[in-house]
Amino acid sequence: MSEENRENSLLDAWKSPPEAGAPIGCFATSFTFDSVFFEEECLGRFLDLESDPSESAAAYIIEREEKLSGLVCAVALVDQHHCRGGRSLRWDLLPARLRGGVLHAKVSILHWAGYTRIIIGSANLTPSGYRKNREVFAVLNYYTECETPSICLKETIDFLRTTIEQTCGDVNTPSIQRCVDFFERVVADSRKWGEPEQGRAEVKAFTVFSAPGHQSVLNQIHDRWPYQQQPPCDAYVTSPFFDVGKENRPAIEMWKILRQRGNASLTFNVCGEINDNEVVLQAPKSIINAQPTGRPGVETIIELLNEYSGQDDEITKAYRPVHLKTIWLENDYGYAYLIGSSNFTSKGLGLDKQRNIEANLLFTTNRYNTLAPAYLNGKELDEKIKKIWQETISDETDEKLAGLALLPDGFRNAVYSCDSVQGGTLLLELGKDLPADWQVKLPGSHEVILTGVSWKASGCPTTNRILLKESIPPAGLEVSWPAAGNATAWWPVNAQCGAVLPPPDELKSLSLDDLIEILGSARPLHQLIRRFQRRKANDIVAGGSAEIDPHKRVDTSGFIIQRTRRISWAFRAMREKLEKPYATKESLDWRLYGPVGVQALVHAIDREGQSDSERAFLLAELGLELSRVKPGQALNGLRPEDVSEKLRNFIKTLDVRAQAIQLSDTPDMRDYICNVFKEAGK
Amino acid sequence: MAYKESFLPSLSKWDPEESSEGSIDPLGHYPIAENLAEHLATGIRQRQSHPRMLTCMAVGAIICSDFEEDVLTRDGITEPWQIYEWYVVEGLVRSFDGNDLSGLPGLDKVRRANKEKIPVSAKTYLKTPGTFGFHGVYRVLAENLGIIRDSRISETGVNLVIAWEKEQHMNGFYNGSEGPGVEKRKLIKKAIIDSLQSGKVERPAGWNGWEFIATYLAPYKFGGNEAEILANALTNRKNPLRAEIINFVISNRAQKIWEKSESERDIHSALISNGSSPEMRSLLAAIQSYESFSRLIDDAFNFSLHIMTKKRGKTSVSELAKSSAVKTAAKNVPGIYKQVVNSLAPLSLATQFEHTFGVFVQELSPSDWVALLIEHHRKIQKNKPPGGKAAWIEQDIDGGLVVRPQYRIDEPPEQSEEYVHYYRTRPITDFFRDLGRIKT
Repeated sequence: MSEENRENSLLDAWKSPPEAGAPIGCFATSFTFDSVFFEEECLGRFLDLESDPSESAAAYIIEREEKLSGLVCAVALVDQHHCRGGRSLRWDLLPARLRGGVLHAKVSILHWAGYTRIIIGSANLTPSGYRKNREVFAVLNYYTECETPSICLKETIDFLRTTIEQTCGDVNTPSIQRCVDFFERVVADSRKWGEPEQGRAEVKAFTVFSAPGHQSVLNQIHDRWPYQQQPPCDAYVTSPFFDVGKENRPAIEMWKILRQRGNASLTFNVCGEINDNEVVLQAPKSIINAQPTGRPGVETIIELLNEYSGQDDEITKAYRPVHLKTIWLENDYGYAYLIGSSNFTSKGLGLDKQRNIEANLLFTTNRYNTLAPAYLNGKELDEKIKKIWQETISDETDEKLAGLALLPDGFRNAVYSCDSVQGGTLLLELGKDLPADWQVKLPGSHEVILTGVSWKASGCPTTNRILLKESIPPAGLEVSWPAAGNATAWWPVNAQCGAVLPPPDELKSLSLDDLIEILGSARPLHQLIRRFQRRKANDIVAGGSAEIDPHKRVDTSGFIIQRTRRISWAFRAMREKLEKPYATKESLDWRLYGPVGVQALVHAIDREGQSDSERAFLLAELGLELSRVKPGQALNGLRPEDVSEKLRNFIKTLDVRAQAIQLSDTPDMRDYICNVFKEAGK
Repeated sequence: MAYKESFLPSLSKWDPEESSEGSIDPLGHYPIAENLAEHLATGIRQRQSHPRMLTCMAVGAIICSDFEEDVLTRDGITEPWQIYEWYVVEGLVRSFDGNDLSGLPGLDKVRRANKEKIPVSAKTYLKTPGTFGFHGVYRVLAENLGIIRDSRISETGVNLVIAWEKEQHMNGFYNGSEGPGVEKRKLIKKAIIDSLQSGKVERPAGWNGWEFIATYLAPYKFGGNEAEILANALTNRKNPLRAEIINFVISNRAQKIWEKSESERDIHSALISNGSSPEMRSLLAAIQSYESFSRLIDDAFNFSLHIMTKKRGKTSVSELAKSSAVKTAAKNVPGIYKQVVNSLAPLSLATQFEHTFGVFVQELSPSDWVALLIEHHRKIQKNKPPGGKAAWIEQDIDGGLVVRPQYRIDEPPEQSEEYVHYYRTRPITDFFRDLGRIKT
């Protein structure tokens, strides 16, 4: 086929496009999964993080937490066999539990205020999937006046909603509710994006999903083939995995799609290794045996895929395992090309009763050069070479999955919450299907927080409240039981909401001076914190921060003036920041109630105000400044009147707080405070 | 492809990790090796290769001194020095091919943006430019040599810019009085101001600033005094060990060894036999013993990954223990451990070593030893910032070990006596080749 391939970086697809606007949220599915990779590489790009975790962990955490806190949601829905790993609880990890199959789809929806992107392909959310393997994918972009078929976005969201219902059990949990809100937001924002009709398009795109209750993938391809009177005559299948056993149902069904009279061919691109006069093929012989018998003009061709890329020298040669899954169909009139997650297996193509959840895209065209560059060519084998068939078992088969400790269904939801009275709490929801003698531990510790014995002794409650000693919420819990042997299953924990999560250590109890500097600076928060840390380190090196200039010690009047001036300046700068548009209500909450928000400033004034008068005065000034905020309007963001309403409520709390301060000795100040809040309340 | 352009399918590109030095360090060797290298050649990093970038930083610091400290692009992301970096890299990319610029940070990103006709910006440039851009890569050295301090020009930097100004006929550049340098400084500053508004490079192909960058800031185009200032700064007596290693590495004798074997162990052995200072002998002895230790456990780990890869399924500890690398390590590591502790003690690194590798003092059977090695690896991964990383090896419910796909090693690892880590011979050679002190 094509001489030159079209190759792109999968990770680049996670980067925000120019003029996309603020990130709103993302939702991704995967079969295998690496939580650290997803958080640092995928979410890092989606959020435009500029700090590097290995260079400055503190700056990275602050930037990550700040940017994640402004999202409606960030979610990875991962097949239960691979749903584990440490992470920030500001994004959700949901296990997909499917009986008789696996969640094998690799779909990501990224949504910014002015842009939605869907990525569908064969790559799992792991470093090997995204960086090393040979994978195939397509990126569908939606924005004002784009020509991408809008039906694909609608169908993808419907598919993901259904997948959650089929695999996540209780849909009333906070994390599922965040997903629901996110999908609603995408639908609302993208209502006018995309092309509703594909009639004249040079290349048409269709979603081809497979799940319990769906038509098989091959049937869907057949239905979408644009020339129903002229079936395709040649098919090319690329897959790293096939069914094992004597009969190959996918190959038999494939032949049924091809034309039933005249010449027809089915080519399999398979991996393998040539040794002297023989080739070991990673495929079962049954793919050959599926060819119709007694019919002239039909042919099964085996081509060998090269798993090395680059030049043939040691330096540039890279081993790139083939993990892509494609089906190419053609005749004299046109072409169809299926890409996505479906291996050429019965479960992958939805031919069995027990089937996987899969996501694919089908492209049709009569222009060969539009699709061919995304096809990976194999090399035809010499007829004389001896073929040795080696059946490779797919990672999604029962045999491979049996080795993994799977969290029993009875362990339903684990939710982290926190309040000022009880501190950090885990709400563990348990059902019926539990193994004997189980115990639940905090990760990496020997601390058992719940056992089957204690649970039974307390009457087998559905909801179990566990108070945590540590302030850091766990990303998951380790569940073990004797039948699981040495291994432990992972029970992901998700947060009740962003507000219950503790801020990064560096943002806890910042001083009034630090907050004033943060509010008054145009620099990003993580850069400022890094600057504070450097300054503190320099102070330590210099022998502490004690003032050594005797002249500065006596200049207290200047200090008061400077302080008031700095605070006024910081309030003004804060107002300007508050006037910037809000893409989500979560981002407004962060600016008001986050660790460097207005509420934190109020606490710092309470804590560090030098007198009651000063405290009351600063609260009044703050209220006045908030009343002057003229919120901006973000594309698809919060309405200015809603922001103003929230600010008015905040000012009322300031008023109450200021009125509670004893100012009987300073009646002028008391009158001033009253007048200011009257003015601010208008 | 700009993803906005079309929804056509694509194959995935090989996309190796762009990581900071040492972030991929499954056994936790790197921090001590890095500390030793820092003792040996302070400020020099393995990924540095062109000392002219130090001049570029000094010139940039002069231009950016015209901006207030808190000035950022309108999106609140990028500082003026970063924008200056975009312009420098793009200017070089527009004028030179890849071979001339090898080792220039940001090269691929800018080349790609140019190819796709997208302006360079925070979105198209490096993911963490403060670390991986040339300012990030050379910042520690520039501060150590007194070229910049907290992004502002410092004493050596001033001398460097004045020498550069004179030799490049850029009079007026430094003090802004009069001469052709004044215009060039304004030219770049104006471009930065425009980019601060838009957050992206704002100059077309025909802009004469590109020519200025290519002509006056290219990696190899040193003036004599400029090169002299940098060479002197790198070899001055304030840092005697760095001066000693550089003076030896650039000698004919060392260069012959380097050309022949590219072996840092050979270079260091030759320096010891060459009559090095007692401090240098002590440091090199520490490096050699630490590298012998690292080599043993590194080989054992890599062979274990290879065995697991070949098996394509669960592997037991006893199967790993059969490899010669594991047997050799189990036998020799406890003895070498004590040598390493003794040699690191004068450098105040012994405690750190014992804290990280203390478990390896025990004499164990190969099976027990390799189990300990895998446990050590898990612990190292778990403690990586910010929240730990997954181990490369997974354990099955029956105790079987499986290597995670991205860490498979298909070919048998090569066994050698070479160091596992780098001790700056290559960047020193590259630097002094650029500075004209080593003839190619």
